[in-house]
Amino acid sequence: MARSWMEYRTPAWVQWCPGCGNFGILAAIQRAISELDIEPKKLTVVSGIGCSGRSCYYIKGSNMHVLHGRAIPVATGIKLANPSQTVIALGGDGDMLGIGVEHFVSVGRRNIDITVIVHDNAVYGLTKGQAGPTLPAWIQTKALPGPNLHDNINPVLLAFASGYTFIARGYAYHVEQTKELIKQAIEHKGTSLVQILQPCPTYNNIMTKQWYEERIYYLNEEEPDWDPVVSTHDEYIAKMPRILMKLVEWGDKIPLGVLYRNIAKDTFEERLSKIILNYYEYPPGRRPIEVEGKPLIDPWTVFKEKVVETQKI
Amino acid sequence: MKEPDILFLIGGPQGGGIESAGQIALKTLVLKGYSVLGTRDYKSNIMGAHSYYTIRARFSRPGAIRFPVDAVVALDAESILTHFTDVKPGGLFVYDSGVLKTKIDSIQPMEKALKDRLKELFASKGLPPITESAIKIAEENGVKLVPLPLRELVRKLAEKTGASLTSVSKAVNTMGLTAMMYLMGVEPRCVEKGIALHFAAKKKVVNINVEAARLAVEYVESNFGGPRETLPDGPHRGKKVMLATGNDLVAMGKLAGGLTFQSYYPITPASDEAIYMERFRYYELSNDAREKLGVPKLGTVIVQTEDELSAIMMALGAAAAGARASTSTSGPGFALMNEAISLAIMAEIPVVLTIWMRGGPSTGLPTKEGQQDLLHAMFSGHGDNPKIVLASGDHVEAFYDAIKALNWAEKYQTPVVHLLDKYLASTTTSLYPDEIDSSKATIERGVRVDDPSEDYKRYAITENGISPFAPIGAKDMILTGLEHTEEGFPTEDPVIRDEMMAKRRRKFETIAREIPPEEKVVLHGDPDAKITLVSWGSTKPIILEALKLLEEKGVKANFLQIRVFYPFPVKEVLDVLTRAETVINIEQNDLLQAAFLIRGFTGFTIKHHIKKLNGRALWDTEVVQAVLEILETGKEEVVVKGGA
Amino acid sequence: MVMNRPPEERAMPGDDLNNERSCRTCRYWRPHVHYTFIGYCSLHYRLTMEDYSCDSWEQIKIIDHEFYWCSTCKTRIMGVEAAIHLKEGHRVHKGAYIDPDVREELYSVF
Repeated sequence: MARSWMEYRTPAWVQWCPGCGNFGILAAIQRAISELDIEPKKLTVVSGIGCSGRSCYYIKGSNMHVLHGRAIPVATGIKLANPSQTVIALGGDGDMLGIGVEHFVSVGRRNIDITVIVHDNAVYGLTKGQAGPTLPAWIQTKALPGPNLHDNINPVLLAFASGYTFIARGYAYHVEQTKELIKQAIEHKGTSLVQILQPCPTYNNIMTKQWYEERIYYLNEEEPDWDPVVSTHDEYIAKMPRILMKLVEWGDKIPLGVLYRNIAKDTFEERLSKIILNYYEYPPGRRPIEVEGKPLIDPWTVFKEKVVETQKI
Repeated sequence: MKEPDILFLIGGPQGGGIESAGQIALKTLVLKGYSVLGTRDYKSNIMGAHSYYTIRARFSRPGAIRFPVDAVVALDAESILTHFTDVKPGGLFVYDSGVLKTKIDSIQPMEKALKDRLKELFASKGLPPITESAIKIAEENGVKLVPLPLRELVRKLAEKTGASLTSVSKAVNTMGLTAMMYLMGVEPRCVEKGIALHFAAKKKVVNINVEAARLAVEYVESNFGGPRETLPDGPHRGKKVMLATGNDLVAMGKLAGGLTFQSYYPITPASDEAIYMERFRYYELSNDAREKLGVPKLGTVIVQTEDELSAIMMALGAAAAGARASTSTSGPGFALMNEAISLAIMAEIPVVLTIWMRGGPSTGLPTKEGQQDLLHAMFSGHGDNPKIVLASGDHVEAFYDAIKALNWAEKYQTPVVHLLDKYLASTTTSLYPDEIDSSKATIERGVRVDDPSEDYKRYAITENGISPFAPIGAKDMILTGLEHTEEGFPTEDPVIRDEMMAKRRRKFETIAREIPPEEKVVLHGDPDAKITLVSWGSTKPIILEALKLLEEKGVKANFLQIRVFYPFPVKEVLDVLTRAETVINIEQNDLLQAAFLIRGFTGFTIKHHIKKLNGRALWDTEVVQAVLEILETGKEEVVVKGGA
Repeated sequence: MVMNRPPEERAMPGDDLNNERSCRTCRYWRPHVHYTFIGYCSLHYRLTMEDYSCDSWEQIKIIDHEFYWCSTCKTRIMGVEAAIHLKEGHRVHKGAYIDPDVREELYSVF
């Protein structure tokens, strides 16, 4: 019997504004891990700075609250040190696609088996509503002194270009559907992105609940033959045009659901285990480093290429 | 017989065979039973700029290199023009006789400032601005000239070896090196052994270079005669010797010290450490360990990251999950890591930052020596930012300090900044089994709970300030950079804030108490000497040489080496400084950073300073000269300027 | 329609070496990047001394928009610049030869 999602709550006060999309995302994550029956200590939520960053205090896990933009490298370090851990890195669009965008990109190259959740509300909430990297140009949300002069980044297309092997988009107020996406993302072997569209009732008066709900649709509902799973190169070539169309679709219609999944690519951990053959058995966080307080190696043997035997002259 | 003490340099274009020549020279001398020190000096250029390898060999380990040297090998015009005044009278100057007509202005890679100085010098002596003028001046200075007709020698080599000659640079430098070593009294068969050892498995390369060596000896012998005397064998014949740089030794120390995770972003002079480690990331355990653990090999995960922010953060993640983790960089990368250091302090995560200093500020002198990051290390991170700061003085210290830093990081759950520099990074020395002995090292991890109880608190308030460490995954918990409760939940409560600040302070009081005084400072030489030299880092062996030279001149001094800068050893430093009549501080930075810290922590103001800022290795002789100058004139500051 | 213009070719203007039928003036020869008295023959795939010559000798031609190696300046130049270098007495070649194992001699520099 799986744990109830209630068991993943913590004593901390969930301190978001009323109507914040984060409540929905939190509930979706808690439900997803409960349905996957992940033991709280085997779950790690790493979060950056921002409203969403607080999530790691609200989900019972072995968690870490780090720096602005840096959830992904920390999550990577944790996963590599302890590959049996379920690791989720989460942050807002400012965190993941602004200050931390280099990590958002680079994790894709590694295909580390972690789940990246972007709480995308297109504004910086904690610093009073500045434009986030996903806010389209010329929109002036109420806290902005003038219209936004930056174009918006496309997180799912960027993730695709970066090598993510699972890309999905959800909507914060649809807890049930978002939960399903998060479950699939966690179960996917490799780097997964779940972009979650999230109204910010306090600062984003343009991209509101109504704005989103007029536009979003579920791919698997509107297009029953939608199949974004790729397992061979031929399949990749065949499915790519349609997948790309969905990755760039944004405006009057915004597709939700699994946009892309590649099950052919090996994870970084698998690549490592081809060099360090017993990597999974002796991962960095769980391997002996001494015997009776003494080092395990003798430099004169391991680094023998540096050793000169002078008697040989 | 006086103990032989030989010192020479091989100059040439970067990529022009200097590295192999240096390595062959070091190996040859080691095979002959000598202790060696070899340092490479190169520019921030991939190929073509001038670089040189300076090597010193004697029976006991040489502590310093210095100019003038006993011999120079200069097989291109720029090397001749750069080093013609660096040879002692009576010393050897081996050069290519084919480049004498080369005009100074036609040498593109050469610095304009040097060209201007040379043209001025040559004009003042009525000499034309060509390479030959340098040779004339060297001759006037009493240097023994050994011109090699390189073109003809290479022609002969090409004829002899036929189509198999492909690596011209190596062969050319082997010729120059062998000619010089032969005249210095090193038997050609020793050089041949050195060549064979260096190129080991590459039989063809060995054959060509041995042929090149023979041609050079043949030419030198018939034109200049043999050496005056054969260099006697050194006392280390028959020993096992390790030839390694500071980069290598830190890599070895980390792996021996149980490092299981390292992340890094490429930067000079740090990345060679991680690259070396990466070659051995899945290693054989010693017999004893293999038996007791029942596993033959173990691995260390090494990740090249997208930037230094990622490097430090990945290490922090791995460390939080129980890995013994470190990252390695130099000043610019360290600057990017600053925010993360603060997180590591607040979240109490063990991590080692190995910082290989180079000349700054900014990109500065990326391939040159500097000790300008001490204050950067001390004050890295925002907020109150205590962390252990440790500086290694030489190769042996670098090896054990790498292990010690890892121990301290885990024991005290704190960042440890391990300071080293470019000189140590790229200087090779010979080491013996009793010096690099991993069985002398201990591995300590502090209080770890792998299976914590239900009431475990990650930030439990304890008397010594250290909360037992449980890795991520052992229990539900929270690590955070926000001020927090014992459980890790964020809090802004004034009472808890004070308690947590006090807890973290107590931790550093514990560290200060537990690190033995002899690991914080070392007083070298006679404790009763009236003159005390103060320094830190890679100047150690250089100053030790200087002490001996000073004593020969009747000046008795001791040397206070500061090893740990934080927690600052107030009492230990003050005890020594207040006993001395004259205190002279020696550093390779302009702000006199150690003196600043000494004044700040102890109130003791050092009045005399010797500094070097030109990016070149410090010489023992210039230290001696500067000390004498200060003693004579009472000068507050002497800037020493040796090097090419 | 754009006509294909034949590349503008000119012979190396004369310094005293140019009339010599030796490797150093040959279009197939690339001097060693550091030790320029030896070089690589890209026709016969072997190292030769600069004053060697053989029946395959062909004088180097300078074409404006192609790349050349000035072994005096140790830098790559365009054909259009070659005249200036040659006037200064520099040596211009089709390329340079780098030892195949040069990596062993290089350092981390940035």
